[in-house]
Amino acid sequence: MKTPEREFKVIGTRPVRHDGIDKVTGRALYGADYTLPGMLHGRVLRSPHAHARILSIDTSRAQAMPGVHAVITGDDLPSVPDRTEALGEGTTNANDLSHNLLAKGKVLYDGHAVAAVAATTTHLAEEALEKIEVRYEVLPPVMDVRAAVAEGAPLLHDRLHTAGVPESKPSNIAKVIEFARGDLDEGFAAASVVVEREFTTAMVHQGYIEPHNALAKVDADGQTTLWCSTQGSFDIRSLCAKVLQIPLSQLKVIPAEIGGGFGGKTTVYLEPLAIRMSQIAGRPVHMVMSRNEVLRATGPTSGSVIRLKMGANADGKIVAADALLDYEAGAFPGSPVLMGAVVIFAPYALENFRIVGRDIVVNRPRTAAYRAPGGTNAAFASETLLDELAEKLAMDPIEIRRRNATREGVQAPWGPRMQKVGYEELLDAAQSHPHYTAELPSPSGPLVYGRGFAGGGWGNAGLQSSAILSLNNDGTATLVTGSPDIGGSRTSCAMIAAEELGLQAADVRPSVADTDTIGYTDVTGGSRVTMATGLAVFEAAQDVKLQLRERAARMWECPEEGIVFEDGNAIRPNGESLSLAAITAKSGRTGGPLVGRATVNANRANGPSFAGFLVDVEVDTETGKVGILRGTVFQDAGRAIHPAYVEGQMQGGSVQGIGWGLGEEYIYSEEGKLENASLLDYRIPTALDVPLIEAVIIECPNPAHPLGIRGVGEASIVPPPAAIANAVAAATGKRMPVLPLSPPRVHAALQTDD
Amino acid sequence: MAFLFLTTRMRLHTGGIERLEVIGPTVREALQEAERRYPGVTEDLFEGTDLRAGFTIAINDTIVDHPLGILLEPTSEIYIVPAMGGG
Repeated sequence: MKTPEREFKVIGTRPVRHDGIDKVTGRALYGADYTLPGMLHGRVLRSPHAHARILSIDTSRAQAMPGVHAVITGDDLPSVPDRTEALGEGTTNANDLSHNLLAKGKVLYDGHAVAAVAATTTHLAEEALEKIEVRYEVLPPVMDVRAAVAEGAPLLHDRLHTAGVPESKPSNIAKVIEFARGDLDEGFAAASVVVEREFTTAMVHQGYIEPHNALAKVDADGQTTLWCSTQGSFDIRSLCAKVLQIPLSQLKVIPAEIGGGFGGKTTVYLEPLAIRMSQIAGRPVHMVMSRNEVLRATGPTSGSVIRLKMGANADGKIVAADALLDYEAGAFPGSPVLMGAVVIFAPYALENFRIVGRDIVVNRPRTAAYRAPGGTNAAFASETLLDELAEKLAMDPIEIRRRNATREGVQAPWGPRMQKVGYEELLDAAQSHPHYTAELPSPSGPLVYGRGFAGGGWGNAGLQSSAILSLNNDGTATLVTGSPDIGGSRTSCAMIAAEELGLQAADVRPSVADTDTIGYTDVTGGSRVTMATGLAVFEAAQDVKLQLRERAARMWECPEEGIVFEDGNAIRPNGESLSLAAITAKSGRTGGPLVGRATVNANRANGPSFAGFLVDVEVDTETGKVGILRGTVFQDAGRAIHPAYVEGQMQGGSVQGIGWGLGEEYIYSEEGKLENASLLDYRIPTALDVPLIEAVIIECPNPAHPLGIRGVGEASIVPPPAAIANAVAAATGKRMPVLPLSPPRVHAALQTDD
Repeated sequence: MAFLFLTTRMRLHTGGIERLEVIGPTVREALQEAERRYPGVTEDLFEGTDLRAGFTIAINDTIVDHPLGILLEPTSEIYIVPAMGGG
């Protein structure tokens, strides 16, 4: 599909978001705000050990307490198939998921849920937790990928074999994936320069401000309603139904407003427990996590060790690249190593390469998706090594990227050919931006300064979406989708409908529906909502426009042929016109309500988005502190529906990338206890830590989408840690391949000679 | 003649050949043809007669819904692509 050039009236403008007033005045309802008559409060007992066998759990004293209405352990969840199947956004092993909800046999990380209680008050529930007696046999923990693959390492799962390796022994390596093409030996032989390093990145959390929550109400007939903070109400329904073995039709999921997710709210933690305890108690059960629980027991993304070797010829052309990516999966298989392998060389056209990825279980929380899952780790390695190649070739770092940039027709490392993408245009924009040539401060005392750039890309997940667009008889419209709104997608979808119908954005009232009210819709994730749900909205608008033509013909008492619907009016060949409002006003007499609908699988409309981050840093060589002086993010949005929200995504991703690069990391004791499970000690950047990030939108329309949209939610988090490391290297002359570049680490690196 | 691009795991069954010429005329028949020539080459791709969860197929530059029945053109390129998600 080629995107036709057209003039837009609504798309590209910046209307006020429909949910804005409620959000800024505190009226919006989040999951923790809900309450129901007779509601109980649920709390979870968590393991103090990283790895231990559960010898016994005695809940009798807790169950005997007045006011305690339900106590559950892993034995209270049904057995489910131990196999990977299509479930949720991708594939999931329901048995692993169930075991993560409530441990069975062993606990596998500090914070692993062991039991849950529902009582009349939160305090009573917490008191009851203290009366549950769990006897453990403590086992040695395996805390990182190096330890997990070492000979004789303790095994987390006795029955885990390495997928992708025939006849493997039980192992902590859950899976091996590989992409390869060409001849590596030949490629490296042709190289003028070769660089090789090992990179380490820390496990980091998504850092959403709103903790996980769930309110479940199970009626006497088993009909169940669940309110929760989620990125995908249908996925939550599927996951809960699977682990609780109930039919989908029995469960209605109502998404609350969401205080951030970044991938971490695409799976379940509390939801099945609240439902199960409501089944037992016969009363609604409300559960809200503490911050400590969020950090100890919900979806961080993988720490990683990446071994990378790259060679380039004298012209800067990459002639060979060899990567081994080891990603922490947490306690159960499922790290984003596949996407790391996709992203590591995504921006470049390579002929000789090998990318091997290993998914490795360790005694840390089960990882969940985090904005461009796996991509930031991978780009930290490839984009800093590419920078080093440029340095050795005395070549401009953006120029070396341009000479290797992927473009239409290039075969991607993971397989298919690229459609039109905007990476070359992005590099041009970065190189010609005033920031790139602005003067840096001169060194002053212990302070030195440097500038760095890095690129990176991310695709769109595509997947399924539904939309219902109903016209009101005053010429306004209501739009219903199933995509929880995190970044302003309600408004961007309303703008698409308004554009197609010739209305203003404020004339379209968008709402996010529950699972009983709209057709199946996949998660708000994978940079997909404005692209994929927007595609459904676009098609629903085409559906209703056909109906408007038909109704206009009836009103004119003429054939439909020759009537077009443009700019909010049905127009006859003779020039006569009827406005949308005039047609809807008569809809009751011309055939009834006007309702457009569409369902899509948007995989066909995917359009990769590339981003680049340009950053100036100040390094205090006495303390090792790295400060961000200036940051500019560039990204190909395809078509920016609401530029302010695109900029917001770009800035947000950049700041999360800065946090990943400079301060965030899970810190465990030798025994495997998380030592920084609070936001005082787990250092997320605030507005005081970063300057305003300038966002430069590039628009190379996605040829596979009728409006040219590319998903923009994720790509901007990919480059920042690499860009910062490149800037620190420029400032200090030291390459630092371990994240985060925290003051102690930078200070220590500055004391070494290499 | 269309072209089937093999994953590294599929290449274990072809002696390292990265690309096969196939006739089709559908994607399913192209894969069956590859299986006849290189037994085991497609065994990871299927669960029964359906593509296994976790795999998709792209033709040239586009991931295709219901790919197995797609009619191939003489220059079509078939790529086996792992299903990808995001955050």
